Amino acid sequence: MLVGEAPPVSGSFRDPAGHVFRRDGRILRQVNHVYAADYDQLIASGLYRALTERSLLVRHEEVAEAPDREPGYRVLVPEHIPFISYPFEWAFSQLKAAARATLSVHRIAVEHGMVLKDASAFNIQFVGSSPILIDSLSFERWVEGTPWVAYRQFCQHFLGPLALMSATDVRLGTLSRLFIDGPPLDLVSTLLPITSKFHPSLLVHLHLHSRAQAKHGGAAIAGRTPTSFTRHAMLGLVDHLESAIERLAYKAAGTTWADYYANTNYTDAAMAGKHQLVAGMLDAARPSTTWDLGANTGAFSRLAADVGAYTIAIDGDPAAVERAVLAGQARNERRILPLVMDLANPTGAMGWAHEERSSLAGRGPADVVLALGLIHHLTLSNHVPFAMTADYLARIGRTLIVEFVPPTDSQVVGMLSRMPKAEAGYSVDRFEQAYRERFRILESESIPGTERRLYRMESRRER
Amino acid sequence: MTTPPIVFGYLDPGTGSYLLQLALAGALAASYAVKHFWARIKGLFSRSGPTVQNDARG
Repeated sequence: MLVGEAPPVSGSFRDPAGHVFRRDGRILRQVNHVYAADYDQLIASGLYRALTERSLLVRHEEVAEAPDREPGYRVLVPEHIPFISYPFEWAFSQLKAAARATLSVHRIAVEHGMVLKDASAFNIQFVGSSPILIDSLSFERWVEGTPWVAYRQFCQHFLGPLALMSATDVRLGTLSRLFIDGPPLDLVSTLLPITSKFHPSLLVHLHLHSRAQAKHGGAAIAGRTPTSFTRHAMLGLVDHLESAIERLAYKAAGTTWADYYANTNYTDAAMAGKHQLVAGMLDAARPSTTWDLGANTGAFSRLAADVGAYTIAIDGDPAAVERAVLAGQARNERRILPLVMDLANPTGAMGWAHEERSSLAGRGPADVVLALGLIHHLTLSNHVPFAMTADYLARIGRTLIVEFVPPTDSQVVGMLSRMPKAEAGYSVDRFEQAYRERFRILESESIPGTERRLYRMESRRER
Repeated sequence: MTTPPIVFGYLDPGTGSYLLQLALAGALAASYAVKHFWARIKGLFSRSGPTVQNDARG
């Protein structure tokens, strides 16, 4: 790297075809000379048009600007993606939708004489419920006869995790957080139940695939002449992987949180009152981005989206998030992105030099953070003191709408009966004292029919 | 006519992954042909035409 050059943005340094960089607050993509023929083919073959018309590939505009570094061929301004999320933060049906989109992109590429050379799940992003490929340099001209170069990566990033989430345990989706190139297939094969071997596509693409990798290891293949992998074989592979993905299912049910609103201790009138108060506070804050932390199935995220905010609905329960995702997919949601994340252990900065994937805080701050029915869990179950939740919330959001659940509330009484020593210091006075140090309290209301309070506060943090 | 040698990009396709695809090539091509053959036959008997896009290049 030359002196004065900024490093490429978010993991885009691996591909010699080009990289993403920032200039004057904009995100730009450079196409390198080495990729010129493939880029020209993407445009000239009609593939770019076919994919952007179907909203499968992010649109871009070519601009006559100097490249970030030589040898540059083109500089592109890609369409803005409101929030970057990662595969280990997705619910089952989001990963499945991303897998479908990847295979559709590859099929259409083959129909235009190209292939998807990179099937990384990190290249797919969601705008609401719709998956879209954000890497315009993921294509190369296909030499007919050669197998799919990204087959291994597709199986590691999509098929393996989906099979584990479906057949073993939905929480194994978080394995992609440990393995940045997807869980290795030998591990997937070990973790899958033996019954998965009776499922022909899982047998072939995961179990036999893992054995083939073990058997042939790093033996050389480059330099051989193209072989018999015909166009029909390539399209047959796409069909086969698609049917494998479609047959994998996950039924979101049975967890404490997915059924929360059916079992809540709120009366209908109190819930309606809470909705009205939250809506009023959102209206006063007028956010363009909102993070709803502990969102459950996203009932309050809807209120934020309704005032025009692009809303990230985060919850630690994969079943609750799955329900939010399915509801969003059914109505083609554009403004709410549900994500799975344990808020006691939010996504940290990851990858090479901690710079490939951003932490949750690194993707903020949000205009508004909603923390409804959350603080008592962090304080009492996770033992994070008020001062530390206040610090973090003041860092990730400009305005905070927060609910305080008093020690006399039936939910807290239930929690404290199991851990009586956790109570020390849990009071509304201590809460307000800690939060006043990091926030200016703009309004505070009690929720009708309950002992709970709702606050709107502004972070004191300077940015 | 000579065929150019295979040149891969920056991503390692994995030797095992590559050879597995070659081993499957015949079966995948056959299943694709059968699926699309039936789609065309069905298309002949339905007003709406074939449900699967024709593959003219063979």
